[in-house]
Order: sequence, then C-alpha cells, then structure tokens
Amino acid sequence: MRSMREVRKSVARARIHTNGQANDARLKDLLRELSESRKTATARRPTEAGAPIIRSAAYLASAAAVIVALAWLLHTRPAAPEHAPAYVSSASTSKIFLLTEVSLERAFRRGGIPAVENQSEKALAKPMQEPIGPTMKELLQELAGNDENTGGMSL
Amino acid sequence: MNETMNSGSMKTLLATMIVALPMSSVLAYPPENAAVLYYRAFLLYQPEDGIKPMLDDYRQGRIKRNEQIEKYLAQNAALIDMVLDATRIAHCDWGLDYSQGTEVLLPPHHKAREIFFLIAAEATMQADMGNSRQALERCVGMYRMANHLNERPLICYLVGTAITAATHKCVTRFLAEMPPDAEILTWLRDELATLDKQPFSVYPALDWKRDAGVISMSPERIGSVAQAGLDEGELKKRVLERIRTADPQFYARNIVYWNDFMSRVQAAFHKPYETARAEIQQLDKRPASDFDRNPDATLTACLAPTFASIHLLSVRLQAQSNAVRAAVGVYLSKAQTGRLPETLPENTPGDPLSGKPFAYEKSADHFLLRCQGKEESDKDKPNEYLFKLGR
Repeated sequence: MRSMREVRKSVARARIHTNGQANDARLKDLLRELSESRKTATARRPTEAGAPIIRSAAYLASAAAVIVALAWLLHTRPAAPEHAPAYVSSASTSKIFLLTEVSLERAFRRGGIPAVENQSEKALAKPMQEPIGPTMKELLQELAGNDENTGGMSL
Repeated sequence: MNETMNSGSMKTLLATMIVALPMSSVLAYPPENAAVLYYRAFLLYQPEDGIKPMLDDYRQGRIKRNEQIEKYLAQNAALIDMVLDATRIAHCDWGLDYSQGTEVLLPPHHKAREIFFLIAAEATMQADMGNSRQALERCVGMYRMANHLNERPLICYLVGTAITAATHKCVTRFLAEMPPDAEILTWLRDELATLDKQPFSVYPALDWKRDAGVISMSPERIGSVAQAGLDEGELKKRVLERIRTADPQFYARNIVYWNDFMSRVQAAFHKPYETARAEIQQLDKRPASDFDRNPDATLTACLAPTFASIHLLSVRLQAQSNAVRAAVGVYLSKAQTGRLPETLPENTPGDPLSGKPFAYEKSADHFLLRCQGKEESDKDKPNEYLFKLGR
C-alpha cells in the first residue's frame, strides 16, 4: 500500500493540461449566472427603507407570542414539587429477589422455615433448557482457527 | 569468605522462598473464611430424589439404617468432611451487602438445611455403630454451623434456630443411647461451654433489623421493599399510596417512629419472660393501631415482623439449650457415680421462662427437666424435657 507522503508527491508532480479558450468560456458563464442570481434576490427583498420597520414588527410579534406562551404555561402548570416522590415499582419478577431478606421474611410469616426453604429453592431452581455451552466438537472447531491463518489444519 | 557465606545463604533463602511461596497457596486449606467451604458445599450438594425424607426419618428414629442410606452417606463423605472443616473455622463472613437494607440478598438457606439432614443422618449412623464420640462431634459441628449461619438478618437467625433445635434432638437421642462414658461427656460439656462463650443469640438480628429498617426507609428503596414485603391487600394498597405522595418529612418522621419502636422492642427482649412477652405483644399491635391516625407509623407497620413469635421462639430455644446442658451434667454425674444425682449439679443453667432452676424428676429409665414457668398463663402444662437412660 502507498503511504500518504507518496500520494502527495505524485499529485504535486502531476501535469494538468489546460485550454485557454475553454477557461475563458467557463469564466463568462459563471459571471452571467452570478449577475442573474443577484437580480432575483433584489426583486424578492423589500425596499431598503421599509425593511427595518417590517423586521422590528416581526420581532415584536415573536416576543409577544413567547410572553403569552410563558404566561399561559405558568398559569396552567401545577406548582413544582419540592421533592421527588418515591418510585413505587411493580412487584419484581426476577427470581433472585426471592432471596432478599424482606421477601424471605414474608415467606416466613406465611409458612415458617419450610416456606423460606421452598422460596429459596424456587429462587435457585434451574429452568429446563438445552445446554448453552459449546460442545467438545464446537470447542475444537473454534480453537482450530480459520482457513486463512492455519491453512484449514485442525488442532 | 563472608561474601561467599552471604551469597550461599542468599541462594538458600531464595530457593526456600521459591519453593515455599507456591506451596503456601497450595496448602491454604482450610481457608480463613468458613463461608468459602459452606458455599462450595451448597454448590456441590445435589440431594437425590426422595433421599431427604429418608434421611430425616432415619435421624428421628422412624426407620432403621438401610443399604441405600449407607451408600448415600459414603458417596457424600467428602462433602460432609468439607462442611465439618468449615464448622471448625472461627471466622465466617457470608459476604452479604448490608448497604441494601432489608433487600440484602441472603445465602441459599435451604442448602444449609439439606446439608444438616445429611450430616445428622451420618451422626446417627455413627451412633448406631457405637461411635458416640464421632456422633456427638458431628452435633457440635452442627451447633457451630448454626452459629455461623446466624449472621445479622432475622431469617439467618431463624434458620440457625431450626438447625440448633434439630441438633438438640440428635444430642438427646445419642445421650440416651450411649454407654455412660465420663470422658466423652466431659469433652461434650467442655465443647458446649466453649460454644457458650459466643452464644447463639437473637440480639444481633434485632440490632440489624433496626439498621436495615432505617436504610430501607428512603424514597429510593421503600417502594420495592413494600412491594416485596407486604401481602396483597388493603394495608399494602394504603402503604403504597402514602409512599407515592410522601415528602422528605414523611421519611424523617417515620424513621423517628421506627427507632423508638425498635428501642422498646430491644429493651423488652432483655426483660424477664412474662414481662417481655406482655410488652412485645402490645408493641406488635401498636404500628397497626397507629396506622390510621398517624402517618408516621406507616413504614413501621410495613417493616416490623411479629416480634412476639420471634421472642417466644428465642426463649423456647434457650430453654431447650439449657435443658441439654443440664442433662449432660446429669449424665456425667451418672457416668462418674453409677447413679443419677439427687439434685441437679451446681452451675446448671436454669429455665428462662421462670428464671428459676429446672424442676428435676428421676425414675429408673429416664429423668425429666421441667420448666417452672409457662409460655402462656392459660397453658395447661409447662414445657418438659425427657432424657432416657438407655444402657
């Protein structure tokens, strides 16, 4: 791969062939387009004298709208609380929470030590599922690398 | 010459360090923290289907030893040794995160009880084979495990109580079946005295309950605590409603109420049984009765367990523990003199229900220790502890 320095040198040394007539024609086109675009912009603009009046009226209208909106917001919005109320979550569905002291105390109130044991068992019960770990075959394949760097050789 | 000597000594020292340093980690068994071994045992022990009731029946003498029990105990011998090793370690830290307040995640207690059933069955087998000392050693191990389990949370205390009470039954049975052996009984008496230097107690659980309550009474925690701790119903609905609209003063005032409530509960637990029971029963009713007219009682009503039943359990366990210690003294006296003593030996612990010594009755085949106070004044009979004389 070529370095950035080499690329820069190549660009600096490169010869660019230009044509004088073509350049003049392109310059004239550009000047004409610029002159036309200025005329269009002037036609759309208000007169030089009336512009500040219209501009200030627009600013006044915007300011009034903002003031009215703020006043409406302040009037209708309830007073901000001095504190954040406690977040009352719904009962947790995670099994690990069955092992908290508060949860196990509730189980004890319900059914004594057997209820505590049942809840602990429930918290740690394994769901019936397929093993998620790789098999020995998959592990060997994973460790064997890929064709590019090992040439397809297995361990 | 000196330089050569120094260089030689240095080489020896370095060689020793190279060999000794890795060895020290290899030989670091048992670990300094007993909980490491308990957690390992909890992880490794997977009881076979149907074995738990069989082991329990065997421990309680409802069935005889059979081939399945023997085989099962032999298969789990390494695990039993691991747990007994753990019980001999003084330090036990379960690594609980107490900054979570009442939401602290607890160890899997059901595994502790499963392992208790296993070791109690093994102890029973040792007793059956005439190995009284080994059987009682396992019981002492179970007492120590119960002490280790009794880390601050109330549930840990309750599970430890269940294991201690079940171990008392094992000891009572083994004492009845063993021949009068003064050496073993002296050893057991001394082991129990050593355990009593750090007695199994409800007080750490009460101290923690108070601290945990304060931690949980915060806007960040109380919502989930109330969800987890309260049964569905009107109380839960009203507690959650008050929590939703609570301001900082609500929490401050509820903490003051809680601290005052817990101070009274803790003080009551130290009083003589009858006074304590009456006070604690009154205290249990207070948060619920204050709830309607006093919002400061809201979170105490949400967090307070029924302390009356915990108090009763703790006193009952103390009475049973004292009875076992008194019985060991009586058995020892019999082993030394060939007959039961006329009165209870000196320094025998008494009945915590009355604060008086146990009433002692003896017959040809047993002796009886009776509490002089009753759990409830309207109860027909006081608690009694019967100890058989087997051989």
